[in-house]
Amino acid sequence: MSALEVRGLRHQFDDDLPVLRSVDLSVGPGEVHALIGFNGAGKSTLMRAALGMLRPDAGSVHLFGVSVPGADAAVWSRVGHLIDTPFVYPELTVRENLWAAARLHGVPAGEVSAAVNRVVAELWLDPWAERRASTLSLGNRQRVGLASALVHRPRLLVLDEPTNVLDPSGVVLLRELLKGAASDGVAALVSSHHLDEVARIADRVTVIHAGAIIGELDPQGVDLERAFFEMAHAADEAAAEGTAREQRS
Amino acid sequence: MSPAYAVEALKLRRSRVVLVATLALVFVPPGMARGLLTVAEQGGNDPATLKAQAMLPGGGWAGYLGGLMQIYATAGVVGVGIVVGWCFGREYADRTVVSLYASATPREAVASAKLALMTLWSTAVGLAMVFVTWLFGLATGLGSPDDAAWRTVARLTALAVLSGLLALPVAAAASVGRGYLPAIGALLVLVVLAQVATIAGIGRWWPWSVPAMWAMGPESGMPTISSATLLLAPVVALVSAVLTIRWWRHAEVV
Repeated sequence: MSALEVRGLRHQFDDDLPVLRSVDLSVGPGEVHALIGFNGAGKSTLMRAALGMLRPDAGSVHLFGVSVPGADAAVWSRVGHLIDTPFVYPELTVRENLWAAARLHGVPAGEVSAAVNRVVAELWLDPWAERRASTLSLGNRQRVGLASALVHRPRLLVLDEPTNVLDPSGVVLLRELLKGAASDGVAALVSSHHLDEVARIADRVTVIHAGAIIGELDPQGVDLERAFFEMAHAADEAAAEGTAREQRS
Repeated sequence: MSPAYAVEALKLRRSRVVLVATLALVFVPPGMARGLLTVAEQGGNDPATLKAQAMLPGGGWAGYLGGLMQIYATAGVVGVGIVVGWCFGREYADRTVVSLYASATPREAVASAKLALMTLWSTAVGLAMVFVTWLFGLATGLGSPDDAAWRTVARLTALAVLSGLLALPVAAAASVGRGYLPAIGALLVLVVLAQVATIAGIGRWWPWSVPAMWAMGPESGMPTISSATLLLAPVVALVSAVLTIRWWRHAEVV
């Protein structure tokens, strides 16, 4: 059973072009599935719809076999995400932020302290653990956000451009964390602009363009960047031909 | 304590906004009221003295408490409203609300915890303000309150608690408007409409005017208002709480 199964997802914001066009996508246990595309391609909207943050116009999303509208606390406690903004309240210390994330994600009260200590160590947050989050750099705020997404040991991770604002050591750290999580059977859907990074971590690479899935790339293939641009260009040409054909008929 | 309550309580304890608002609401209105009474009791024809005498319903405890009611009727709603607007609006302005989706703790539980804690906090602040009022009065030579003064203290206590409840609709404005500014705008509208309703003679039916008019009473030139009308305040709080929780349950991320 897939951890995440998206079928026929369509969505359009009011008076605007469609942002998702019949999208199908799945992420299985132990798989790091990368989603790549230009700005505005629909990556973030797809991830939001997958996590119930917006209601799509059509299509379905299942998490561990459960439809998202019917997902209960038991389902959500198996999901971790970093979408848009990290879970960071500036008035709280790093440790308090992680304590809050753990409690909200359903970690039993007696196990929260150990869970927080574990992610503080895993994300190399020890030097800042007792500092207020308002004093952190952007990169360390992102690390706290990643730690918040991991603190409850989720079985599905959804990360929207997680390497944004991370320094090189943070990028390497995230790569190792994702590989380790996947080897433990965690499913991960990760969007990124960094194709070289994607090639290092992903088992599958799906290309989304103008709201539609236009194909997959081999993460071990030669020159991923060139293959990506060729695929996007071919999709644009096919769309232009289709429009011209419609106008002629 | 449930996760939503525990997390929201921690955020409130660590917040400087809540700390400053608590100190301001507990100490500033009694201090201002005592200052007004001092000016009023100076005597003479000084314009400030004449103005203070016109504002207060008398001298001693009656003047002190009467002045305080006028101040807290507005300050209570504004002060509590700012904190309520911050509590809800910050989640949207800082985008932390996105992290509250796809979580084992439903968003409506988070909203319910915020509303319950805001009610508890504003009630505690109101009661603390009344206690400080009593201390200020004793410490500044007003002596022990007589029976009439104690009855006024009871009305002040009701006003302080109800003012907090009347600020809860700001939570709905901050949530639907997704930020601080709609909350502040709604707060201004509530305060201005309360003044207008009182002046226009319909204050006895306008929930945001009723507690102050009832508390100040006929001795301050207000019409007699039935105590039952005070129930408008909890009704307003309940309706706004239901609307806010429904919004948090159904709203999408934009």
